[in-house]
Amino acid sequence: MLDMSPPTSQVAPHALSSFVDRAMRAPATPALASPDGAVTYGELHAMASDAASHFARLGLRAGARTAVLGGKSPETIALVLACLLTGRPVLLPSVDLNPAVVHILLQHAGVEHVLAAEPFGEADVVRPSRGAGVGEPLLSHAVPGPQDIALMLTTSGSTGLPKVVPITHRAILRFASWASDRFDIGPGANVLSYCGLNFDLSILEVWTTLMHGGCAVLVAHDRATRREHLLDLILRHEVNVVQGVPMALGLLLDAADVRGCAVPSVRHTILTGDAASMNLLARLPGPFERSEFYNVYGCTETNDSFIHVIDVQRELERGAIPLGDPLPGVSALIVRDGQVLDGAGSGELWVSTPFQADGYLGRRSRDDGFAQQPGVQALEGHFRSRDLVRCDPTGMVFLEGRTDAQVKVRGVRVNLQAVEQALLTDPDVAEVAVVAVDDELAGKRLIGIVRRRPGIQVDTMRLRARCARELGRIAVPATIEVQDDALPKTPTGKVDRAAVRRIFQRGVS
Amino acid sequence: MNTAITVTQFIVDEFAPDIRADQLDPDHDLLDGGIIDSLGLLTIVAWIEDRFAVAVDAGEIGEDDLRSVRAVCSLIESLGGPCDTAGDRSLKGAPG
Repeated sequence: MLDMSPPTSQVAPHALSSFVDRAMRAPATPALASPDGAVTYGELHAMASDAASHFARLGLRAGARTAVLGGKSPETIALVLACLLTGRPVLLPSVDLNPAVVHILLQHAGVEHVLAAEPFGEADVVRPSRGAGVGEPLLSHAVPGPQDIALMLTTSGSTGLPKVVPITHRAILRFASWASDRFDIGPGANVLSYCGLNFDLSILEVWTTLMHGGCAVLVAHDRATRREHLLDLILRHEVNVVQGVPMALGLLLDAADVRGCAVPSVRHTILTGDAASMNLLARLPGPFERSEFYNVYGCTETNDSFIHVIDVQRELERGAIPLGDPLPGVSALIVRDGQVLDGAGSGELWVSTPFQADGYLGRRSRDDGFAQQPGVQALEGHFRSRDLVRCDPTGMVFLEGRTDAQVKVRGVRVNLQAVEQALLTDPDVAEVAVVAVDDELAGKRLIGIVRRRPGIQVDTMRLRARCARELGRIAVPATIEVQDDALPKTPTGKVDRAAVRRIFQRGVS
Repeated sequence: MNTAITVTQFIVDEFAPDIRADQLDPDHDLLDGGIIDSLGLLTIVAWIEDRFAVAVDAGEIGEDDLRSVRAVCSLIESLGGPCDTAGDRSLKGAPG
């Protein structure tokens, strides 16, 4: 069952009071590193104070929900801090969303004021200046309770309109307490901030780091896919903690290969967001010569739920990375046909974590992961992940894919992600998407789209044989297209299967 | 065109458009190699009957009779259809 007590009795209810404390006590501690230079805790606090000084002029009432738009920068982070420290929850929409979608999200989140540190659409511009001195502690008024919302994140929207997920101060405190301890995030630790502030990964990369005295090394949004830039940042700032989707780590490995160098400062490498291929796993220990590796599973709604300390050799022999153990206070259940699975088998994962949201904002639909499974009491308070998992006889749990990645080919269930993983094990394959298109005869027909490694002739006969061997004949794509172009990606860097399918469904109809 | 080339071309066109006919060895395992599946077997049987005007008794044949281009050619020959498996090496030079 959930432990609902705060992690430690000394922790104040405001998630960022420890940030303010540090800015007062040790203002010269580095807080952020960006391509434009370093920012200390004192400077960041002063910037937040400066931003907050404009709120009255803009007519922001106490407790008003705000949105902060724009790319990740010290100024944007200072503006978010200004809102949070003065008791105003902040919605962080992705910079990639179109304005019409952002408008709907603002409504769902009940946002009263839209702010940005740089000109961005209709937002009121509040550019925090780096004035002299630390100033008075900003936490002087409107301190929120632990149940109050701090951040409002959005889901990726890969299956429709993004949903607004409220994250309370308490959820952030509990998560940061676990994560800082697990990944040694404290004074002197440099943590790579790879993804945008709208992603739940930022709760670790930026907010946990600032709450516990570390320094967040910011990757600019427009340079996130430039592998040399990533490698440079890690080397220059001696980054200790790297968290990324497999694609991001793949970029880093490529850059390290090209330059023939290692990243010895990295001590903790966290794989998350997607299943990592065995290829990627095998390449990690080379450059990341002094790092521990973790597989971390979670979703925006629940934050991290499972962690597995990777033993590269053992996982390579096993051919898969387990989800690992539930985090402290996490309850996980596997559900199949409306029943909670007891023992080995496959089913859908339902989780409850001490960090999870209570529901989405501004939506009444029952068709979401917070809706309870009727009649199954054990599932109360659990979030339906829509991820398929398999529990082996030893109790080890493996991710099999999304429930929406499951299709029927001639009546046989085939998991598209499993086919993708099989194809990705081939060393010539750089990227892959397997999609199902409608077929008169078979119901669904699988199409594999493969991006090959530069200059390599991919042998699709070998790919077919591998799929047949590992997954059965039914799982072999009817066609495997080989191309040199990168596949469409979601904002998190995962291959956007829906976008690929739209291209091919058009092509065949 | 000899039978092996005809069979190879049909299999590639029908089941594996990403493969060139000259890549497909006459002894390549079509089933374990992920080229055809059980529905593919039925499709090949129907095609043989149609293309070579022979009757196939589905109860008489098994997977192994259709497992490779060479096996399919032997089957066609045993049913009284034309075959020229001796020429199958010419497959390597077949247009792709």
